[in-house]
Amino acid sequence: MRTYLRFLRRHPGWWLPPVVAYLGVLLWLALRVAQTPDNPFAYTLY
Amino acid sequence: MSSADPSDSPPPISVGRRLAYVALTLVLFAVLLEGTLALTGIGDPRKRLSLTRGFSPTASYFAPVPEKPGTVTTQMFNGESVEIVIPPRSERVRVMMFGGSNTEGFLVDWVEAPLQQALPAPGVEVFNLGRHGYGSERVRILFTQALEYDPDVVLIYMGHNEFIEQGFAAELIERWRQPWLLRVTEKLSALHSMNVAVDVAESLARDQASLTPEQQRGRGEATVFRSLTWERTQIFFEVYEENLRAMVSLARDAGAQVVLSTLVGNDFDPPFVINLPRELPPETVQIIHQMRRQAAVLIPFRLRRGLIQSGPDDPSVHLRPTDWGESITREELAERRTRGGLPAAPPLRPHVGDLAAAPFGRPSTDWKPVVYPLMATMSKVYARQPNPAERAALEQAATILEQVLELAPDHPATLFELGIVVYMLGGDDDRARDLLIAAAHYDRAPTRANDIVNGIVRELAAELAGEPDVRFVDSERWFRERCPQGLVGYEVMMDNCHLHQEARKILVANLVTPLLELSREAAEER
Repeated sequence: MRTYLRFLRRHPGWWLPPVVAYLGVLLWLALRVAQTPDNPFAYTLY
Repeated sequence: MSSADPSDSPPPISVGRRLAYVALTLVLFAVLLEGTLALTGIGDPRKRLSLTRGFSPTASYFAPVPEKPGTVTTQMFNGESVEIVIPPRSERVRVMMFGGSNTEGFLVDWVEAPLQQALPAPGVEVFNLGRHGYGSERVRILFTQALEYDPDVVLIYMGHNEFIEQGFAAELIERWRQPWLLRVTEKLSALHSMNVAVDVAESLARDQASLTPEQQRGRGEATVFRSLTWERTQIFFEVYEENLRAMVSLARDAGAQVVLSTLVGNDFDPPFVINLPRELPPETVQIIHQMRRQAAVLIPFRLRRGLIQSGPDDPSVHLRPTDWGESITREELAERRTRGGLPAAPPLRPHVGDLAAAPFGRPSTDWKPVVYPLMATMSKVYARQPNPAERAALEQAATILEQVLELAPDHPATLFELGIVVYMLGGDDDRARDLLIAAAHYDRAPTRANDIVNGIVRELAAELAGEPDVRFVDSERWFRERCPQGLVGYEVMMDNCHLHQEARKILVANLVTPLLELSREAAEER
């Protein structure tokens, strides 16, 4: 446990990028969702 | 200068251990984030239909209403229509209706009032779960979830949107580039954190998400259906059949009785996707294009304007309900009515019997300008009174179109054009009808139920004939039998698949009879 806490304290360069990347992937996928149309292209036809 | 005591400094952490700690940190972070959001109720996935527009069995079509225990509301209209609230089950007979936009247009009162009058005790409650644009894939998911709310009787009027929906599904995959990416997103959609991210992204992308009607029209269509062959369209019908059969089976297993119906479509609406067979050599394709153009220009313009295309300058028109003044705001309708100078609606074909009140369209004051020229054409087409010179030209056009069909017998546009020409010439209505039905049959992506879809419904109904918990109404045949020449046209239809409101009311009145029979049985069983 102490070693793990020391790792967190002394090596943010190791664990911070994956955490940021995780958030980035979530947001990237979310942006794709947000840009997806709600209705078919032929919305005006049906 | 002092030097550190080596015994005080901790031993270095190995790379392997560091990697393990990174993974642990990531997991802890995700779990903590998710736990915090779950505890605070932020980003609840159940409060969103799905991240893939409802194409997933895990989509939440129903959400609890917090202030009313036992009550649920649909969450599928995205603000475009009023969501349906379903209270806890009572003694009343519960009827649910499923399908696309036509079903959505079945006013609850049209069904509930006559059923309620016939069964005042225990009473009847009707829920319309039709949703515009939905085809059998999403209707099946919605249907499966709706069965949890214990309907006694279900009405299925579904089959116009198979290609619209599957085209949309294909478009989604195309937009996401990789299907697996869509699947990953769907899996992640169970997370509060993903839903919060989507909330944030939606607020950022709100302006980009709202496309203009023109952008909507141009979107995806060409790429999604460009390569579709008729052989490939059969897969769509197989999926439809599988979904319909599964729904009927699920309903019966859940103790719900079923009313099935065929679907009414407009025989005079041109086919939607008209790709020539791929195996045709390029020179033959070129000859076909030339001959079709030659035939089209032979047809007098007044008899084909908006209906038969001769080139990019005079496209055939696909109307939509809003063009007639349906489903628009009061303000827009009032604005249309203030315009002057639009002549009265051109006369269409007189109907008799139950459809004697046709044409059912709104007065021309409510129309968009695009409707009038097409109705003027249809009026002349329906009149079938070409002068001698026009008749000679039509006969010549028919000969050319027959030759095209020898080269490409299943070409939907040619079948449609020849059907219209034969119809106008008169004398062989059976052939005209066969050709127009064949045009819809061979449409590579029909935007209305054709004889294949209705054939599937009829076949299933025939298999279940005599079963006490299933009823069938052949609505398509009923309408066809009451339309002149057995051809359903703009007198009852607004566009490819939507009935004018009064015609829809007649369709629903026919469906009320079996709904009442089954509701009565359900009431007696209770």
